[in-house]
Amino acid sequence: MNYSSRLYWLFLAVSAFVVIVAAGPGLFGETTFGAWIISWQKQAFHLLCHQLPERSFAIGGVPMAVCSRCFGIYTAAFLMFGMLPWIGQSNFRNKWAILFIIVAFGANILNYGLDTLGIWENTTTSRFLMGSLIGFSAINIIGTDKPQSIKEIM
Amino acid sequence: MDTNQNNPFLSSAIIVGAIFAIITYTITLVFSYRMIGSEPTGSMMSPMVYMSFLSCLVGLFAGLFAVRHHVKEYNAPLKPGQGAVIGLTTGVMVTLFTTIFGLIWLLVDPNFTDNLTAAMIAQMESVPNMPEAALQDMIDGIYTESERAKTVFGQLRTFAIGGVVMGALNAITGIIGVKMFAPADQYSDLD
Repeated sequence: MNYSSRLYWLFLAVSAFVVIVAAGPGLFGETTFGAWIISWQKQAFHLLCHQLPERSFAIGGVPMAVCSRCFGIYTAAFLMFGMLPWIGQSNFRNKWAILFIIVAFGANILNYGLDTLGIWENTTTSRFLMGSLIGFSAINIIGTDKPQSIKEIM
Repeated sequence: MDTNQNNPFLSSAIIVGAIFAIITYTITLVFSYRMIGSEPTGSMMSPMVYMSFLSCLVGLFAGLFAVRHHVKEYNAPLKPGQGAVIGLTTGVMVTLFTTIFGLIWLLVDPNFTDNLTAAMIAQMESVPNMPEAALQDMIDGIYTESERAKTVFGQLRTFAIGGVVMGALNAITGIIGVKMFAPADQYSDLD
């Protein structure tokens, strides 16, 4: 895999940009809730996240532009982009890359379901960690040489 | 295998972008009306919370499925960079169509924005023990956002900001789409 290509560095930069925007207006010195509501960072993610303050991390008392689960996805995606050159290729990776992301989504759905049913109480940290599974597994597919489809595995 | 093909991808981007915009906007509308029609719950967790897992991240799949659509349509080689372009275009299309649907809906229900604003403010006011200054700050923010949404500049701003982020994220899922859906011997590495 060619990690010196422009495309790789472009997407490493794009994923870093997404994390910075997702961190919300608190990162840029805003300190009020009203500023959060009208911020361009919140606007940027309004189609992608429910943006509930109770489910978001805060910087300087101002909620981030996305919930902690989404922030976990974007942060993990950035970190995984950065780590891709150091992760070796293997048949194991080819075989499980796609299954890993299906498991990650399944785990998040289960996590949400258990929380909704009152069996498990999520925190912003637990949501962040669950979301990061999706981020890591999604970018892992990009770095995998020949990810096998479920049909091929079966 | 030749990977220098240049099949038109705009149709995939438009079709998938329109479908995802319809899904996203429909979910938003349903839960917005649900909020308008419900009593304040005394919590900042409004009925909108129930849309969380439905709408959250749906828009990210647009790039993935646009690439899948393109692969099914042409069954031709595709580089990751081409997948990124398809994803980027699809993300922008989702934002464009969502903005258009929003403008159309203002013609269907001219009071929609005002009613939603009122419901959101009522929700905020019902939260117990909220400091008056913080409450006023939030109400000011909601009003500002609501007034902005009624202007052409506000809609263009929403489209521009949303388009950049949706485009960037769907470019990434477009590359994932190439890895997942293009035949294994038909893609090259990140080049």
